[in-house]
Amino acid sequence: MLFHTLIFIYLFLPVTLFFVYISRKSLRNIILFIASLVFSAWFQVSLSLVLIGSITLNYFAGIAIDLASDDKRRRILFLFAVILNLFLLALFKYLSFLSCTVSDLLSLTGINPFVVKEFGMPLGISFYTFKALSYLISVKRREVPAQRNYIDLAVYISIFPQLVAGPIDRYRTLAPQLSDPSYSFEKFSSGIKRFILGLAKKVIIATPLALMADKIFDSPISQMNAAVAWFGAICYTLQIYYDFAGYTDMAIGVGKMFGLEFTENFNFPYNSRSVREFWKRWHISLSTWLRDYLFLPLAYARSKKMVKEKYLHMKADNWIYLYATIITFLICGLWHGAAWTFVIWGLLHGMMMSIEQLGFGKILKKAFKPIQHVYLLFFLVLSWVLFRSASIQDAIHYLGAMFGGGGKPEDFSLVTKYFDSQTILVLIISIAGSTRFFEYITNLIKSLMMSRIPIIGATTTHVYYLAGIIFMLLVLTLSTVFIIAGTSIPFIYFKF
Amino acid sequence: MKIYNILLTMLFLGIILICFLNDVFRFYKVPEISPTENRKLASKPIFDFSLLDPYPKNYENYFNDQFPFRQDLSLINTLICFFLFSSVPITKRG
Repeated sequence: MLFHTLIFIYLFLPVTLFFVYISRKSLRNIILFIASLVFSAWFQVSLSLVLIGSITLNYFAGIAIDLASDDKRRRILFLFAVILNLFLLALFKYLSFLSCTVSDLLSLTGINPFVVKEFGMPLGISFYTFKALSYLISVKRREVPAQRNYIDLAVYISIFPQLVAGPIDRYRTLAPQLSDPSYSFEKFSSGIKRFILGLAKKVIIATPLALMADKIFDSPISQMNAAVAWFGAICYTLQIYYDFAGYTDMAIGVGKMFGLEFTENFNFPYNSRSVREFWKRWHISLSTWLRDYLFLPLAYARSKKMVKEKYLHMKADNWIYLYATIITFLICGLWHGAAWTFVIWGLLHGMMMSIEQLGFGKILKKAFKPIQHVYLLFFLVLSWVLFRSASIQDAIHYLGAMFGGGGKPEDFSLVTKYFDSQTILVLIISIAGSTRFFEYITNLIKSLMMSRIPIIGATTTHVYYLAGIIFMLLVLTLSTVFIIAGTSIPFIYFKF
Repeated sequence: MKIYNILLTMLFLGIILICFLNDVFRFYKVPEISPTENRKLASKPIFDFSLLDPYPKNYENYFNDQFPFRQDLSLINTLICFFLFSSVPITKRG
């Protein structure tokens, strides 16, 4: 099930809210777990069994790690549980990719290629596996005791607002909230606003951008020139942000309705001025997860082995950073998808992070600020082409078209054929929205409305709040109109 | 401004409960055949334990077709496309 469907908004959500709010506190997690199973099974009933398998595995693994008599046994049990989790992920997500790669390599030696049948990918397996690993790591590090209540752990791993695409909340931050959620009208209404805004980002903004990006990416290279290719890549750059940020807003909004506060995942990432800053603002829950559970342990382990101050005229610290960053981003790329395009995409980001760390970052900081923005956006637009393309070959052809390798003459008028009033309007709104423009305008209106002049202040405050409610309900209605019209497409992160 | 939080909550719940309210008050009668699309609307699928995987998709099709004011909301989309963007609605379902 997806958030931007009629069945979620008008059936699943009200039914789940009803049962959670009328039930006793002790029954709420059971209801949330049942709802999460239905949510997962809605995608494919048989594949939701994998989710139950993962929960059961981590429930017993957590208890076994907690009960281990010494550190050595604890470490072995932990490693065993991590391998089992990764095995599940590999089986359902990477088997086809691995078999194709092995088959291609074997075919080079003259052995006949083979094909392994795919099982299909369970909904949100990358997300819930990372959440389960976060739980196991916390138990292993003795930050939290193992969860003895199966349902409480099951709700943490499978809770439906986070199931499709996160945020990947840590066990130690979400578990206490699940056992004691805090309900209030203020939280509920702020959840409603967040949900509606997220829905609009997805349905009203990301979808027209997706239709345009698809139209251009799917057309033959012989039919485009550089301007068209750049236009398509920019549409996709905005689409992926609004698609994912919209989803996250909806997840956070639904969480608030159930009395939960999820981690923020975005902080105006396209406002960044370096790749390092970008990763502090984009998919924050994933980047901090990778930093804490992969980058830092890798860097720590390497630092123990590098005893000299310099190697090949470069500081040992820089070697360590390089090593840990490249591996972390390789995993980050693979986490996003089982294809070489994602691997290269991850490596590119890791390389740029390393180049910035090795000195380019200092030069960049001294540059004129708009140049810093242009540098980052230029890199992002190019790297998203890799992310969007079905194969490396497609990406190379498309990138070639962006630099004059298209089949049409370099005439700007060709791109104007793609300019329709809806796309232009959506582009303007989406570009403004990816900066702090709307936040600034909202704050300005708010400060004017909350004027200190007593009579004006009191009246306009009421107008401000009433206008806000009307605006939200209109946006909800408009989003419903667009959903009914069938112009919605699935989330990009849905397939991860 | 607690009153506005309560008001928004009540109105939102009122809107998302529209299908249940329609079941009780029957203020919108869903036609068997869509006059604008000229097709028979999906009927409620039969639940069968031996055939679980296709059930959600079939039920969702049924739910979408039975949504109150579906025809009117669809018309609004056509009007938005036509008068605001001078285009015909594009349909793409994932």
